[in-house]
Amino acid sequence: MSKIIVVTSGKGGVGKTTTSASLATGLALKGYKTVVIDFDIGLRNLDLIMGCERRVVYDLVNVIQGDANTKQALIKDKRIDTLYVLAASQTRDKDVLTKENVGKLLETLKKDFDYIICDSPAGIEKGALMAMYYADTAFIVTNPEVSSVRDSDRILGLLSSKTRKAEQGESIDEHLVITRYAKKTRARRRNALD
Amino acid sequence: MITESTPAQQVRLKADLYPMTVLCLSHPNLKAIDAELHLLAKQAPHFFDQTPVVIDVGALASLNELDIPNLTAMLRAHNVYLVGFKNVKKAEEALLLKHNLPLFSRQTQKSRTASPTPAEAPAAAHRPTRIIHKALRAGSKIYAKDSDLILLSSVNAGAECIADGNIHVYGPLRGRALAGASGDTQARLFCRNLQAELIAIAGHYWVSEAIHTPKTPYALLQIHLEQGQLRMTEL
Repeated sequence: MSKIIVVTSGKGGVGKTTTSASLATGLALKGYKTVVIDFDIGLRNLDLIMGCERRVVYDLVNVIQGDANTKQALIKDKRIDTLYVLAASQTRDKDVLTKENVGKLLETLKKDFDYIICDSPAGIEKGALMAMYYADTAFIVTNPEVSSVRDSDRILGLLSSKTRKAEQGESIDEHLVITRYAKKTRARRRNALD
Repeated sequence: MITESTPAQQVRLKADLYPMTVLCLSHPNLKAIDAELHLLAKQAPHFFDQTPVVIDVGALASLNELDIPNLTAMLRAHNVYLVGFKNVKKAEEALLLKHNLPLFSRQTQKSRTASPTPAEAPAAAHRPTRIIHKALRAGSKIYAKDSDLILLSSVNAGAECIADGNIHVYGPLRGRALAGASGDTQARLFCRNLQAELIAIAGHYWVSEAIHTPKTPYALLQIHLEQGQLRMTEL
């Protein structure tokens, strides 16, 4: 049974794409057939992090609109053969995404993949909502600072109300990922206070 | 180039909302109404300032008893403009047509037994208490209509919990809590860890800055309204 994991945060720049890339690579290295999808339409950067920006021919929007099938759009990683990337479009915007067409895409991918990782864009608008809608598991990436914590709390609220699982009365498996924790700075500060 | 506008552009229909003053009459005696309005004008001289008013006739036995032309003139002398009627019995609607005044609402079962005083104490909370087990996340809002609200977990910063009755928060209260939302001044707020952004009872509120830190940290607190002032007591 495939699992859909959404990597989200609310706040921008906390490390969602980095986490999605690492997570996908880790799972692929363990032998699971994994695909990581960039839902940040218009501001794509997953392909940059995954190192395949020069091999993007077709993207998520092309597949959704039927210009290409998933096989043509998926980019196989050069180093790990169980890892695939589906890049976002750089020229379109998130309005092309709907629950139905995203659902259809994920159903197609579920047939071939063990793990589908959805790299959510920042914010709580359509892009983020589409990325989280079909998730079974959520990784909420948070930085140890006030705005990130507040935004992550907001995202948790949305995960428990605006997702397919929430509508069916079940709950998404939520996990907190703390990024940019600077151990050195904290220790230095603590010594200064002593 | 001057173009003639088409007839369709001369009139535009729009929906708009205005708060309306309602004058509830318990008797049709114009002299008595006039005297009461004079008294009101003495206490608050500018209370009526070309105010349009709808008359609630639900408490009158019949609209026929009311001398509408004289009532209109008397009200105008007080700077009040009669614009229509509400709670009119179905059989008497034709009367309004005769005086060219609009009907704002018909009398329903409920309004027939309504008290003539406009300010009525809201009904006491009568629905079963709502109990929330999970934390109220930022951006979430809970409204317990006609009942008390008990939150067993936290109210996170950016969340709002509203109840017509009392509110009890057992986790940290970091967001907003509004008790007695429909005007019940007897409603109370109980909490154990007050770090709220705003707390209010029946519209009287304290923002975070105005909230005094309790002497004992994590003490059980009760916030209630006393003569229009919020008071915090440690239990």
